[in-house]
Order: sequence, then C-alpha cells, then structure tokens
Amino acid sequence: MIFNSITYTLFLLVVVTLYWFLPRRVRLVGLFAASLTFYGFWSVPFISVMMASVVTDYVAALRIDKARSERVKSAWLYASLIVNLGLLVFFKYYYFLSGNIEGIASMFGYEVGLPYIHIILPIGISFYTFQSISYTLDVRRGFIQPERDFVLFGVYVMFFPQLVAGPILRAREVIPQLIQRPAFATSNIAEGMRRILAGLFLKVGLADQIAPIVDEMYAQDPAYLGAADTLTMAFLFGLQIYFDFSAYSHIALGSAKLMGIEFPENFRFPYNATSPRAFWRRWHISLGSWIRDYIYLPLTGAKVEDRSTGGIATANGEVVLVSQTRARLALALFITWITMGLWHGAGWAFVLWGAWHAIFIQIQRVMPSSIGFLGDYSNKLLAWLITLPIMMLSWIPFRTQDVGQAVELWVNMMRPEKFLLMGFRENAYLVTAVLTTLTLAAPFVWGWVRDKILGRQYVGAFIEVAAISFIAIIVLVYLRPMNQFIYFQF
Amino acid sequence: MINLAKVIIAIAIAMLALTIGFGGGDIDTDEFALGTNNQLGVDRLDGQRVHCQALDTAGECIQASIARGYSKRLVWLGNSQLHAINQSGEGDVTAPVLLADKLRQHEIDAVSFSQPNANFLEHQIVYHYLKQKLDPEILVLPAVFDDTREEQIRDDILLGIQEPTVLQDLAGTKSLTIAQAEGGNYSGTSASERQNLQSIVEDELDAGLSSVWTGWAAREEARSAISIALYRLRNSILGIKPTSKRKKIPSRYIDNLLAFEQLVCNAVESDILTIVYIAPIRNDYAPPYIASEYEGFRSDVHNITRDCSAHFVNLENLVPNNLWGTKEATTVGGEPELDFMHFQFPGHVILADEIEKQVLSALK
Repeated sequence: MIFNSITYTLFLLVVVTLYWFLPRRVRLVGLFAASLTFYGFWSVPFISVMMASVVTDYVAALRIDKARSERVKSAWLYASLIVNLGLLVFFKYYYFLSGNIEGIASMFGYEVGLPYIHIILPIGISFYTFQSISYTLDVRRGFIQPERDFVLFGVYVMFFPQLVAGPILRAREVIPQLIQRPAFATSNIAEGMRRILAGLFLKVGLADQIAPIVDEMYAQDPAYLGAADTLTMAFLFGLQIYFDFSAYSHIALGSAKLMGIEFPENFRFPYNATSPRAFWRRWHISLGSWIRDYIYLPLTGAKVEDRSTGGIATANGEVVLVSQTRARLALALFITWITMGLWHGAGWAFVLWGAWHAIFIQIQRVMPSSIGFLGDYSNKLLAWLITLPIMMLSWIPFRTQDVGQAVELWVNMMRPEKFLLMGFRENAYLVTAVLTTLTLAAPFVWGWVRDKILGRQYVGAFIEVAAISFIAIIVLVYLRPMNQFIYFQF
Repeated sequence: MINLAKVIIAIAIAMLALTIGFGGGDIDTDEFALGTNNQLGVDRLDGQRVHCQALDTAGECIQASIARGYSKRLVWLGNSQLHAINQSGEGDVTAPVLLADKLRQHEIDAVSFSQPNANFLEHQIVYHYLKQKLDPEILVLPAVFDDTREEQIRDDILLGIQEPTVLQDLAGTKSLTIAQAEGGNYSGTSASERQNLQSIVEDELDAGLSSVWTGWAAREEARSAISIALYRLRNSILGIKPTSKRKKIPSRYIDNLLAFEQLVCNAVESDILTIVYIAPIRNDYAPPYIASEYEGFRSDVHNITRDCSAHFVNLENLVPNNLWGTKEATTVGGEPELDFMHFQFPGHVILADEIEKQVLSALK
C-alpha cells in the first residue's frame, strides 16, 4: 500500500480506530493482519518471502537462547544470516552477481552462462531483513531476550508504518511499546496527524512535483551539459530524494504516533550539516545506526551499541580511534561504506557512491577541524559551504546508476570550456535555487516560529491553523499515488 | 484536546476552501497557454473530422479519412498554430480545414494532427502511427524553433508506441527511449504495477469521493489553477515576456533535429511526398530567440531536408504583420502580450493557399 493514497488514509483510519478499542491479544492479531494486508496490496505472493524471514528469526532467536554451547548458538545465528542474506542476495543481487561473474569469466576466455531468472524485487526486503537480522544478532549478543510470542514478534518486524522503507528499528525499542499500549491521548493523535500531513506535503507537494524535472535532466546526454548543469542535477535530485524519503519517515512516525507508539527520528535537516560525518548523523539515521552497530564497530573491534539513533558516526566510533591503527579504521570505513552503497542498490554506481562518502569521511578525519584565525561562526559557515556540494554531488551516481555517466558528469565540472554551458530549461535552475534556499532556511524558520510565534496564545493558534490549512489544501489537491517512494526500490 | 481541535479545524478549512474555491471551476491549461484571444478552430469539414489533437481521439479522424476513400491522402502535422485562431470570429476555420476543402477537388484527402508545442520526437511517433493507419502519400511538416526546446512525450502520444509496428519502426530512436521511460520511469510506477490491487481500490475510492464531493472532483482544476498562478508569479518576478529571448537547449535541440531527420528521411524512403516548411512568425518585432541560434536552426532544417531529398520552403514571412495579434497576459495583472505563434483567420487562409500551392507544385 502506498502512503500517498486515499486507500492508505482509509486503511489507517480503520486500523487506528480498532487499535484503541480492542483488547491486547486481539489488538496484536489485528496489527499482524493489518500489516499483511498493507503488504498484500503490493503483492500477496511476496508475503511468503517476508514470512520466511520472520519465521527464521523467530525460531533462530529461541534456539540461540535455549542452546547451551556457544557453537550451537553461533550455528543458529549463521542459519538466520544465511536465510536473510540469501533472500536478499537472490532477489536483489542475482543479476548484478551473475553479470559480473560472466563478465570476469569472459575476460579470461571462459563462457559462463548462468541461468536467466525473471526476478521481481520484493519491496522493503532490504529493510525487513536488516530489522530481522538485528534482532537475532542482539539475542546472540545477549542484549535482549528472545520474544516467545510469534504474533508480537511478527508485528515488530512487519509493523506496517515502517515495513517497506523504515526506519529500521530495534526490538528493544518497539516490542515493549507493542506490549503495553499507552493511554489514549489526543495530543498523540494531533501530533500524528501533523506528521502525516507534513509527510504528504513533502511527498505530493514537493517530491512528486520536481520528479519530472529530475527525470528530464537525467535523460539528457552529459556531453551537452555544463558544470552548472551537473550541480543543478545533483542538488535537485538531492532535494527530491530528501523530500521523498523524509516524507516517508514523517508518515511512518505519524502513523505510529496515532497508536501512541514512538519511533526515533530518521532525519534532522541533513543539508545543514557542517561535515560529511555530521551529515550521516542527520540522514537516514536508523540505517546509519544499524550499519554502525552491526558492521562498522565490529570491524573496528569497538564496543557495540543497541539503539537505532545517533547515525553512523557516533561517539563510540570516535573514541575507538585511539586504540586502533589508522589502517584498520580506514579499512573498516571503506568496507562499511561499500556495504552501505550495495545496500542501496546492486550496481557499481552504488559502490562508487559509497566510496565517495568513505573518501570524504576519511579526508575529514585527517583534516584539522577548524581554521585557527577564523571564528567559530566563520568556521561553521566554511565547513557547511564545503560539505553541502560534496553531499549533493554524491547523488550523481546514485541517480544515474551508471558509473560512466556519473564520472562524465563529475568531469564536466572540471572542464573550463563547460563552465558557461547551460543545457536545461530555465525553470530547472530556478526551481533548484528556490527549493535549496527554502530547505536550508527551514530549520531556522521553524526554530523562530516555534520559539516566537507558536507560544503566543491567539496569534500562535491562528498561524498554526493557517499553516496546517495551507499544507492540507496542497495535500488534498495533489494526493494521488502517482509515484512510488524512491526508497521502495531499495 | 486544543491541539487536536486546531488540526481538525485546519483540515476542515482546507476542505471548504477546495470546495468553494474550485468546486465550480473549469480551467484548462491548454486553453490558458493559447490565451483568451486565441480560440480553438473548428476541426470538421462537412460534419466530418479532418483535424485531431491526440492519438487517443485520432480514431475519429482516421476512420473518417478511410471512409472518404480519396485516391491520395495528405497528413499535416504541427503545433497549436494549426488549431488556434487569433481574434477568431463567427465562421472562421483553421488552415488545415481550409486545405482539406481545397484539396478535395484534387482528389486528395487532408487530415491534420497538432498538439500545443509539439516537438519533433512527438511528431516522429505520431508520423509512424499515422503512416501505419493511413498510409499517406503526402506529408506536410512545419519546423518551429520554439518546439525544439521541448522533449517530453505526452501521455496521449505515448499511445502510439503500443502498436507493435510503430515500436519496430522506432527501434533505436531517442523518441522511443523517452517514450518508454515516460511510460514507466524512475520516479513513477510501471504500467504493470499500476494494475495491482492498490490501483484498483484507489480508482474506486477516487471515483466515489468525486461523486459525493465537488471539491474532490475539482482537484484537476485546482492543480491547473496552481500551475498557472505559479507561472504568472514567476513571469512577474523575473520579468519574463513573450519577447524575452528563449535560448536553445543543446541536448534537446540535437535530439529534436535527429528525430526530424529520421522522420523526414523515413518518409521520403517510404515514397511519401514530404514538404517541410519553416513556420510563419511575426516579424514586426525581433523574434524571441537569439538571432544566431534561430539562423542556425533554419539552416539545419534546410540542410536536413535537402539531404533527405524532401521539399523545403521557408514560410516565416508568409503571414503579414497586421494579421497577428496579442494574447492574454502571462504575468500577474499584466497587459495583453504579443503572440508570436497564432495569427488571425486571414492568416490561416494565406497559409492554406500556400500549402496547397506547394503540394500541387510538388506533385507535378
């Protein structure tokens, strides 16, 4: 089911109403059924793939807990990893792997004809397998006790608000909230509705409106584009994916909030970050935290955490630098980012995207954090001015999904004869400039409105109602499931 | 409780605004683009359609033409210049209808297809579709510089690539690449995905809501009104007018000219008498293009037409200056603006006469 639809609005209304009236057991069964229905609207047969992951981790976690020997515990963990990663590799990476194997073999003069299988990527597979894996790993690490109630565990993995595009949550964060329903509060309903409206506005009012411009830009031959065009493409897609994905997170958080369930924030104005590392503390925070705890920190040998907040480069990751060799940390960083890239998509362009981030984070590690003669404010401004284009330009391979095209576009920026070439319609530059300005100003404007306006009794209420009305009008006018959320494909 | 009340009141206001603001409206972006001074011309001759605007409604034109059964068939492709009349009066008809009337005495059946700002990639799809359906002997194709800034293929043209032979004819062309991308692009859902349970339920709910709530039914109008308001706001803030210079967009220009070349050469190779003309433009004001780019365009069109062995004629000065006019302001509260694309009825007569002359001359 797509969030930006009347179908979901109606579905949510029914589910939330029942949620607040049903007793615990029936409520959980209801959420389980609702989550299957939500997924079944996309594809009923693919529910079985998701259930395979759920059942495997449910059984594996119980077996790990029951086993006495470490070997048996590890064996069950590996079984879980094999099933989950096996599903992921088959559905997501088969074409990529088979293509590369055939390519490498032909380089050495061998003909390897791997069977062609028509594969449809199940939506959300990268999200629910990662969530499921984290649960089993946490049980193995002794962070949590296994959940014996299959329905409860199933709801944790498949809970519809976050099922197909996150946030990727830890069992410790969600299961207690599912067991103990909080008291009904109208403030939760109001907050949930506000978040959903904000998310729908970002999706149907912004992301979907700039999508055709982005599509047209990326359909053009890079040979006829200039330096400003590459930057425009990078910025506008950067904004599109931000609006699109943060919209999903807003709606997910809002939907859960309607049921009194708190999800951690997944975005915090990432384009205002003043370093690549800071960016990843603000962008897709739950994935960054997952990668940190299950890949990066284990690779560095540091203490692992159990929380989906903080993002990829958090405090412990920095503390550990003291006790590890620089080479090991750099290697861990690159492996982590290549994994991050491949998680997003099965292609070398995504590897390039990951490598780009690894390189700039590594550069940041060895660079001084500030320039002595500049003040704090100037240092921050300079850092932001450097960070923003670096982060935006990383989206080029991500969107082109073609290494050659991405490199050509990047190279365009370094060719003096292309500095003045402008290959798009005037509107593309205009829309990019306006939206970039508004996006960067948003946290400051929001802070000012929150501190100075909303606190005032009548004026605050009037402004708030007017703002929500405006957002609601845009949502009502543009609400239609025209475009999938971009992250559905991951 | 107060917080919830605020959200509910805000949503209620939004619903009310949608109902009152747009519930009774009827806004058409194509009509806005033409302006109130330009009217869509009559598309029928003796009660039968001789002009169509989209492939989804082309069937009527195609069937009527086949039924008429003339010995020769002419297809005239173009943009809104063919279907709009500036300051139109009672009984005025467009050049395609006039031409259809004139050519009947020569046993030639003329049918025209035009879309606003139609680009050559769209023309290429329409041409291959009509070639298969109508098997024309003569093709008339205008070249308009402004339209080479476009590359989008509209939904009603996309229909053309559903024909297997059209698909085959277009293999390897940019037109097909873009059409296929727009049929199921990166941001959108593919045609097969649209047919899932979600889309079926959504369509039902949408139809149900539209039937009980005028505000919901008016959402298309609301979207048009917002687009028009933003367009006017942009023009007002940036001072954009019809006389503002529109620069060439390099990659689109190349894609358009390539599609043009493929189209014209294919037509000639298929033994279709092909006449290409530079479309009329008013010349009492400097054209809204960079002079060197416009000159280059004329030259490119001429060279391609010659290389493909088609007929070329430059008609840019054909319609006298006094037969052009103005159109509705495209700024907020602005004055009527110059119209560089659409002329008055006498201009249509002149154009029809000239095309008839060119056709008859080429047939000799």
